[in-house]
Amino acid sequence: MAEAPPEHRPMASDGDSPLERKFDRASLAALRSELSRYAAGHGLTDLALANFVLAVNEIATNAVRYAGGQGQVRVWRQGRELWCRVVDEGHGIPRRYLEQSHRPDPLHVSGHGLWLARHICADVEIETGRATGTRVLMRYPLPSAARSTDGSL
Amino acid sequence: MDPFDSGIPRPELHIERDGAAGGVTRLAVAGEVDMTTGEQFERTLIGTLDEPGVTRLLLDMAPLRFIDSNGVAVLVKARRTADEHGIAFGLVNARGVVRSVLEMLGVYEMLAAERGR
Repeated sequence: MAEAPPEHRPMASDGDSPLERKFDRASLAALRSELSRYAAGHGLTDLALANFVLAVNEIATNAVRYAGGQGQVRVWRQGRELWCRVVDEGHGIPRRYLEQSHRPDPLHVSGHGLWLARHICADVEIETGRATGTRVLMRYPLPSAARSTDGSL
Repeated sequence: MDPFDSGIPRPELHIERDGAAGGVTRLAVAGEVDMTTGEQFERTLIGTLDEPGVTRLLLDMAPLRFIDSNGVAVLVKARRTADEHGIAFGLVNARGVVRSVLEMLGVYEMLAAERGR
């Protein structure tokens, strides 16, 4: 794949460079590729890698689908975890999705994305409001951590 | 590579019909199912189930690289449509991340072929 244009390259920071990207419907697949490359560079492999990409994809998809069609992702390493923040400028996540602690009925066709991200990640924090948009912070363990590296189960 | 592509990967979904012998239709699902290809996925599955003469539909998931929760919902909808039409429906070769997401969402057993049917 071609090198990203300079303005889209991750900005240097102390220690590891974060990955920062804007996304919309047309660039979701590109975002998954970049997330996969970035997370692989931090040691994630196989199912643990795929699940991380899936979780971020679900949150980004929600932003595209329900929150104005676009958003921004930032991923960085924090200790033995990858942290990922997804920000959008939509009108917030309805309470019924935020309070969902049980797996949604699989016969319902939508509303599984947030549940899935919570199931996959070590932690998902959400700040959301009708006027402020939504910020989702996901934490995902890296393989060097003592606990299971497969965040899925 | 798509000639209109400037190096940015776009999701692609290719569904290929392997055969339709004796009412059994087999579709190989390749590529990625996400929000941009989900409608194509649904149209193809439901369209195939609506064809006359189809009595059994098997989806070969081996070539599929990625499926999101919306794509899984399409599979569940296809399963229900198949039930309504009296068509046997099931997935084969769901592995890796594809099988994982089906299991996390609790629908693998319901969608896999040859499970008590």
